[in-house]
Amino acid sequence: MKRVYSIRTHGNPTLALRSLFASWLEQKVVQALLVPVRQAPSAVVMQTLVSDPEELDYADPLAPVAFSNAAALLSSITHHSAGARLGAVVRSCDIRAFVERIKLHQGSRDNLLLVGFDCLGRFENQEYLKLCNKYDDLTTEFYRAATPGIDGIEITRACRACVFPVAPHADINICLFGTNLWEEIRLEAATAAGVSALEALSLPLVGESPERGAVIESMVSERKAYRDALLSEYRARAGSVPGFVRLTAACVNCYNCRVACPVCHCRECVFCTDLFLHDGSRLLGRAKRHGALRMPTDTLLYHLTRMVHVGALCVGCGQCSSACPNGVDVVGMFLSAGAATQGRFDYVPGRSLEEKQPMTVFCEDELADVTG
Amino acid sequence: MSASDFEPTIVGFLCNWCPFTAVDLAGSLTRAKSPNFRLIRVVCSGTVDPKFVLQSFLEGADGVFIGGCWPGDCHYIHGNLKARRRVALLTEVLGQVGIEKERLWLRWIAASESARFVEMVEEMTRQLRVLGPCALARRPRGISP
Repeated sequence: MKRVYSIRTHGNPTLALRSLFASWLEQKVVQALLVPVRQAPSAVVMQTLVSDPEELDYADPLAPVAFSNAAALLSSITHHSAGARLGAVVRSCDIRAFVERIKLHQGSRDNLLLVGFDCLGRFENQEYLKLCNKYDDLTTEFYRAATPGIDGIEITRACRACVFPVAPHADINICLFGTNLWEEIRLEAATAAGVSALEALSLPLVGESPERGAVIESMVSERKAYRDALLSEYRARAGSVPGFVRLTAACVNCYNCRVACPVCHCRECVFCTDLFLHDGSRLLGRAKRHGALRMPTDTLLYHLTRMVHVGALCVGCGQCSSACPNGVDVVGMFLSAGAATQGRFDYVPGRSLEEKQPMTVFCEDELADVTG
Repeated sequence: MSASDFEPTIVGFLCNWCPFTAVDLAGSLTRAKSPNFRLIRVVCSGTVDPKFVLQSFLEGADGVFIGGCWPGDCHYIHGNLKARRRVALLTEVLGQVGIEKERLWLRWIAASESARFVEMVEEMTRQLRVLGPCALARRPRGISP
C-alpha cells in the first residue's frame, strides 16, 4: 500500500507545502484543512481550519512551535461529523493523543485525511517569539541548522525526550528526514486515502529515501538516551515526598496543565466542582488538624490524581510544562509517571487504535501480585 | 517518636458483601479489631476511587487496605477486578513519590474468612511498624497537604 511521491521545493519547503495544500483545497480532495498558520501580523502560529486556498499565504506547517496540542482541536472538528471530508497537518504527538481521544469516543478518524510530518521538535512558546524578533523566516533557519536549535536555544525538553518523531496512523507522512529539503520533499502515502489524495495531484512516484530509516534510527537512539537521563535526574530530584513537595511548591492551582493536556479528557473536572470549593470553617478545621494548611489547597492531591487519571495516556507532548505560569516541571512528572504506569500495563498511548486503554479493561487472570 | 512506639494508622475500605461480613463475623467471634484499623464500609471494592486512597494518605494514613470479594464472587460481577487494575495503577503513582507498595493492600476476603482477615490486618500493621510513618501523612514541619 505504501507509495512515495515527490514534490520539488526550489529552496523553500514551506512554499512547496503551501502549494500542495492549496491543490488539495482547489481539487476538493478535502473541503478544509487544519494547518498551522501564522496569525499575521503576530508571529504566533496557530492551527487554523482553512477552506479557501488563498488563505494559505501565511500557512507555516513546519514552524518549530505549537501553542497547543492539536488533539483537542481534531476532536472538536470530528466528534460531531462536519459532514464533509477534512484534512489536518499535525505532529506525531497530536496524532498519538488524538488516537487516545478516539478511544474515548471524543473524536473520529472517519472522513479525515491525517497528514503527519517528520518532527524535529518545537521551541517553548516565549523562546520562539523571541527568536522571531530576530529572524524573518525562523522555520527556514530552524531546518538549516545542523542540530534542532538556534542561537543556543534548544527545542523543549519534551521534544528532546520524544522517541516518536514520525507520526503513526497518518494517511500521508511528509518525510523530511534523509532528503535534501531545499530540493525535494517526499510524501509517503500509507493508506488508500493517502494514495488517492496524492494520485489526484499527479505527482511523480519515487522510492523511499534510502537514508531516512538510518536518520530516524539515530535520532530515536539519541532521544532515548536523553529521555533516560531526564528520567533518572527527575527521579533523583522528585521521587520522594519532600522532592515532590519541592517540585510542586509554586503550583497555584490554575489548572493550565490540565487545560493544555490533550489527553485530560473529563468533560467536567472534579477539581472544578463544589467538592473542592471549601468554606472557611472546613479550611479552618483542616488548618487546625495539621497545624497549617497551604493555600491554595489540595495541590498534591491534584497532581497525584492527574497522574492516576492520565499518566497511562500521556504522549509526552510537554504542553503541560509550556502552559505552567510558574515553571513547575510538569512534563518531568508526567514522563516519569507515564513510563511507570504505561510500563505496568505494557501500554503505549497512540500505538494502536484497537488496543484498549488500561483502565477500560480487565481480565480474570492478571496482576496476581497485586493481591499478595 | 522512636520506631518501637510508632503505631500505624490503616484506613480500610471494605466491600459490604464479603469482607465486611467477615469483619462482622470476627466481631461476633469476639476477635478484637485492631485499633490501628479505621474501617470504611463501601458498596463494592470497585467503588473505591483512587482519590479516596490518595486523600487517606494525605490526611494521615500510614497504610490503606482495600478488601474485595474473591474473583467470581463480586456482587456486581467485575467490581473487584476493576479495583485490582486501579490498585496496580495507584501503586505505580504512589511509587513516583516514594510511597512503598507495602502501604497499599488489596486482598480478597470471603465472608467466612474472619480469622484470615484479622491475621492480614495484624500482618499489615507489623509491616507498617517496620516501614515507619508514611511521608505523605507525617510531613515534616512546614509541609501541609
